[in-house]
Amino acid sequence: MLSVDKMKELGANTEEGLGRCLNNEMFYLNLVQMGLKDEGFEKLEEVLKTNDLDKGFEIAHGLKGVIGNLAITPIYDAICEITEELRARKQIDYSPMLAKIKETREKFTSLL
Amino acid sequence: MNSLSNQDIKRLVLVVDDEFVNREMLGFIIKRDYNVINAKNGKEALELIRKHKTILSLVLLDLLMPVMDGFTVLKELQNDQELSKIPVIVLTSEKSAEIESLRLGAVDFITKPYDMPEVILARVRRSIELSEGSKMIQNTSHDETTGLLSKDFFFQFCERYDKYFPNEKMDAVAFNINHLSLINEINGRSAGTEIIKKIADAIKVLLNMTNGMACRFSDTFYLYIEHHDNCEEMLKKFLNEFNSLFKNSRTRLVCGVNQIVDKKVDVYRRFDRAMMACNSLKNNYHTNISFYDTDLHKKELFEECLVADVDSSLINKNFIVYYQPKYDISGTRPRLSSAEALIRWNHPEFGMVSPATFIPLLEENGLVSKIDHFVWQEAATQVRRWRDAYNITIPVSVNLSRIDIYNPKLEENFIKLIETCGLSTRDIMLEITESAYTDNSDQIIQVVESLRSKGFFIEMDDFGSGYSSLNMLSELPIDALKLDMKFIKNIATNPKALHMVELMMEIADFLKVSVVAEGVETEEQCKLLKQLKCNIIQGFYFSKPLPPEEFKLLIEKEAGARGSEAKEIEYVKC
Repeated sequence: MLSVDKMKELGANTEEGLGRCLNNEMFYLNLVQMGLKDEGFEKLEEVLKTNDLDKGFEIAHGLKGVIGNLAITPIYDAICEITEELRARKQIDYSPMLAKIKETREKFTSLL
Repeated sequence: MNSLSNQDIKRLVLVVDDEFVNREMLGFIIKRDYNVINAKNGKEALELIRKHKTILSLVLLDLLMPVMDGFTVLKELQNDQELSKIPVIVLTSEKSAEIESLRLGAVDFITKPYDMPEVILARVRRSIELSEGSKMIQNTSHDETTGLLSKDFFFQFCERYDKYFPNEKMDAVAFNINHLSLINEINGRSAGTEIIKKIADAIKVLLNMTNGMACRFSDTFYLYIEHHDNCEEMLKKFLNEFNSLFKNSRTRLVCGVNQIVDKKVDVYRRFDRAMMACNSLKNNYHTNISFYDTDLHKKELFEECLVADVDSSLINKNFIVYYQPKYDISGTRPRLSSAEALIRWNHPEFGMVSPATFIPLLEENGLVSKIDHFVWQEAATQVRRWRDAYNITIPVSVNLSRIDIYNPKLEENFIKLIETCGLSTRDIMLEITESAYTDNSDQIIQVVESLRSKGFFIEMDDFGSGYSSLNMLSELPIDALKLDMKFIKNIATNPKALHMVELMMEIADFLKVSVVAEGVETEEQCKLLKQLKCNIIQGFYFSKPLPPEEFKLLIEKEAGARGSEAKEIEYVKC
């Protein structure tokens, strides 16, 4: 079950995330759930399969904002990495970065 | 009950972000202090901003969004005069976006991931405060109708301008729309406002051609502009263009110029001088522009001197009350019935100064009420002296200025005065000029009705010189009409003038008030007035205004005549 402690164990900066929610744990966890289920993760994979880097950047940038605000640090770091590459519209293989995002995200979603 | 203060009102804040989590989190942080509404893209945001534009205090705006991005929203707001006043804080994680956002009018940034709630709340609060403060300044610094500066700010800006450009030659220009009230009355107030706006717009164009600033108050505009050699030509062209719009109406735009102002003189005085030049055009229809010059400067100094000497002249008895008799001509011989008290100023330096010179001047600055009080006091004392000396009561009428009507102690002061002198309210008559009635009829009616209820006799002075409507006349609380001397002047030579007086007599008859004719100078005029049953006559035909020591001779004569009449009656009885 999702809890602040377990998130902390997985490397989330829960103090910061909770602080942004005025230390209302229930509200925070609720938003975390929504963030983890964000459709953007799946969409990012899809658009990068078609090499649509503009759209990819747009989605990655949006996810970065959400996950950053929730302070889910491991996912955030992974998203930051891909966002910067996409910002430069680099024609590279994005699958290792996507895999990293997926892996870190799954650790957290397993708590749901 | 406590009134609702600014601090008590929960302001409305719009959060615009395509990410639900971000909107929720930000809304959660600020909803304790603000009412929050949300939009998930720029298009939705613009709709909400337009809908709530009058009450929306702040927009928190994400930049990268689908449908319409934040930059487009900022551009739309910037291009709309009303919407551009709503402050926007941009939500961004991109440093590079900050400059562009500032250029497009954003007031601040909140970075993503968000700062701590306290920081966000502080930024939101500060942005709203700054925006409301600047709106308040904007509202008080500008005239709402024209967008020109308000008078107070104008003077401040003039002073600041002088500090920055101390060597610049400047002109103080005053424009006045003479008789704008006629347009308001005939075509409605909005027509007058339209004219004011048109003139203001033209002034703005003028200001684009030369450096300076302008303000508007009532029907007057002030301009403080850099002096150019073609200033006169430029202003004349401006006046001609506008005055052609007024066609044959009495309304016209006139202009007074204080050229190359003396910077040692304070800024208010510089415009007083421009206004003085402007006012000098009131009865001059040959030109619409006048310049402050040596003659006006001498006049200004003379008037300044008069104003400064009022108090000392009161103390030194340089003001003297003269009395002009009023005769009742209804009987076989003219009977001295009453008198009008008239002020005279024997100035220690200038000699006799005409009341036509100093009364309007003292009316402008309120000093006239000092003179009025002096006259009332002198007149009441004089009535008492004559009664004591000759056993005859000669009621005296005194003038009430507009400013006196607004004195809440007016009635109390009069009652106290007549009690002190042992007189009754019928012994002091009060003259109020017709134009005062038309200026503020409600207030004056209230004051005069109260005075009448105490027994004071009220005369409407200068009747026919103002613009009373017949309907208004029927409602005014008055006991007598004093026909303006302009009407009497030609009655013996011009049948139309005589007919006018006849009509006025009919009006007086209809209103059931008596009539006093002023300015009667000849026997013929007196006879004609008698035929019209205008029985109270004042004017040089009987006597000019006299100082008390000369007026007493008229009383002695009257007392003698009354004594003989009494003896005759006694004789007849025997």
